[in-house]
Amino acid sequence: MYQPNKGSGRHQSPLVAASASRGISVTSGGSPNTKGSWTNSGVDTLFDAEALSLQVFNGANSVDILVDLGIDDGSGNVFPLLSDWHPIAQNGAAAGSGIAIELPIHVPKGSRLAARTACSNASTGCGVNVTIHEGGLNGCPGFSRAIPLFTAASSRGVAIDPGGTANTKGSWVDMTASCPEDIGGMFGCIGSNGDVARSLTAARALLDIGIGAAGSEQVIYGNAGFAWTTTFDSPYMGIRIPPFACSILAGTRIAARAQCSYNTAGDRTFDLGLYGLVR
Amino acid sequence: MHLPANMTGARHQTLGATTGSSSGTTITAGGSANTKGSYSSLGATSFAFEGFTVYFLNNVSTADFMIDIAVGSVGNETILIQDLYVSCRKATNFASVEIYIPVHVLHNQFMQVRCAASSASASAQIIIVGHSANPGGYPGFARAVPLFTAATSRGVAVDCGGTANTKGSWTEIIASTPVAIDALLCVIGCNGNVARTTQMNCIYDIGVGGSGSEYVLIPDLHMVWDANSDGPINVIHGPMACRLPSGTRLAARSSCNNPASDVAGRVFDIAPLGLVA
Repeated sequence: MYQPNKGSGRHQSPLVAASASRGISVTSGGSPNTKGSWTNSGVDTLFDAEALSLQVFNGANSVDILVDLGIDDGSGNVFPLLSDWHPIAQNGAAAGSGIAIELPIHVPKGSRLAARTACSNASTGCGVNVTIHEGGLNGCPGFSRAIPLFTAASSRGVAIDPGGTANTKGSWVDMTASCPEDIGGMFGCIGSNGDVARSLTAARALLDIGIGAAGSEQVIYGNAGFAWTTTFDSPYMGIRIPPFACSILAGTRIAARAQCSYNTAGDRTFDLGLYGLVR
Repeated sequence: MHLPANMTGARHQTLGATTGSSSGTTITAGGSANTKGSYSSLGATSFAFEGFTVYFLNNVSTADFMIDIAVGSVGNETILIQDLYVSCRKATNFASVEIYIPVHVLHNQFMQVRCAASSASASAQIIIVGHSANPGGYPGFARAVPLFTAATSRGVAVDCGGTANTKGSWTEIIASTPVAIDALLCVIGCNGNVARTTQMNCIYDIGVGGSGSEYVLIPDLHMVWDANSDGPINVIHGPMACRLPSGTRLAARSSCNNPASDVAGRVFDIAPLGLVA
C-alpha cells in the first residue's frame, strides 16, 4: 500500500570504517580485472531499508575499478544488490576520486552487506561505504536489486565515441543486445575510458540513451550533459546518470550515443556503465 | 498501490539543451556578487513531471553558484527549488554536476532558472531532463526549500576538527526549519577553498536537536577530495527520506583522516535542501 512519508525514517551506515573516515577497504583480485573476495564489516542492518546511498572511494591513480555490493548470508553465499558499479580514478599524484549515488534498493533487516571489487591493476584497494534509509521517498518501496546493462571489459564500461564532427551525434553503440530482465528504472555512470592523457582544455558532451534494433533506435533519455578537462584528464569523478523511471522488457536492445564540443580522436571518447532496477 | 506510473513506461523531456555547442542554456548571475540575476527560460513542459534531473555545466568561472528553478511566465515566476548550490573549483577544472530532484511540475509550465554567484555576472549552463514518473512510481514533492542561509553563495562551513578520524564539534546548519520536510538533499562544497594540498577522506553526520543535545539522524556519509579536485566537488547525498517537523534545529559534524596536513583544507560547506510534500 502507498504509505506517504512512512515514519520519520532511520538511517544507518553499516560499512563505515570510522577509524579511517571512510568505508571499509576492499581489495581487487590478484590479477587485473578479476574480482577479489567479498568483504564485510561484521555489522548487520538494523531495520528494513527501502533505499541506500552508495559512496565509493577510489584512491589509486589512473585505474578503473568495478564494485559489487551484496548481502552475505554467512555461509559463503552473497546475493548481489548491484554488480559492476564503475567509479573512475583521475590522473596525477595524490589523486583520489569519490562517487556517491542514491539508489532505491530494498535491504532487509538483519542483512550483512558485503562488497568486492575488480581493478585494471592487480590487488588494488578502494573504500566502500553504504548508508541505508528506512523509508523510500514518499513511502515508496525499493527495488530488489540492480543489474548491469553492459559487459564490463578492463574494469570499465562501454566506450562511446561522439564521432569526428563536433556537436553532432555520433553512431549508436550497443550497451546490451538484450536486456537480461524486465527493468523499472535505470541509472549510470561515466568514465574516462582509460584515457588520462587528454590534451584538450575543456569539453562538453550530450548523451542519449535509446532502445530498439540497430538502425531504428528510439531515444528514451536525451541530452544528458556533462564535461571534462585536462586537470582530471577524463569525464571527471562522480559523473552519474541519476536513477530514472522506465519500463523496459527483457530482450530489449539498449544503446547509447553522444556528441561532443571537441572532436579530436582519443580526447572525445568516454565510457558508460548503465544499470537496470529490477522489481 | 505504488505501481503504476512507471509500469506503463515513463517519458522524459529535455529542456535547455543547446545542441549546437553540446551545452545547455546559459544562466548569468546578478551584476553584484551574491545577487540573483534574471531568469533564463528553458521552455515549456510537454507533460507533467514528477521529478527532474538538473545537469549543471560551468567551464568559465571559479565562482560558487546558488540556483533557483521556477515555473511561470516572465515576471510571474513561482520558485520550486530555491538555492540549489554548486561549489566553486579551480579555474582549470570544469564543473559538471547532476542532481535528481523529485519535485512535481505541471504540464505546459515554462521552466525558468536564475542564479547568484560569488563573482558578479558569472555564468554557467543548465539542462533539465524531466520525468513523467519517479523510479517506483512515487509522486513528486511540491518544492524544495533551503535549510541554510546563503550568505556568500555557499553553504555553512563545517570543520572536521583537529583530531584525525574523530568527529569535530556540531555546527548549526539552521536553528529552525521553516516548514515540515519529508526528505533531505545534502549538497556539499569546498567552502571557497581551491588551494587544497592533501587527499582527505571525510565522513559527516547530520543531526537534529538543541545545541548540546544533538542526536545523529543520518550517520557517516562519506566524501573525498584532493589537491587536484581542490574540494569535495559534485558530492550530492540524497534525496533521503526523513520527516522533520518545522522548527527543527539541524546540525552537522565530521571527521577526516588527515586534518593536520592541511588545516584549511579540512573544512567543507554544506547546503541542504528540504523536500516539502
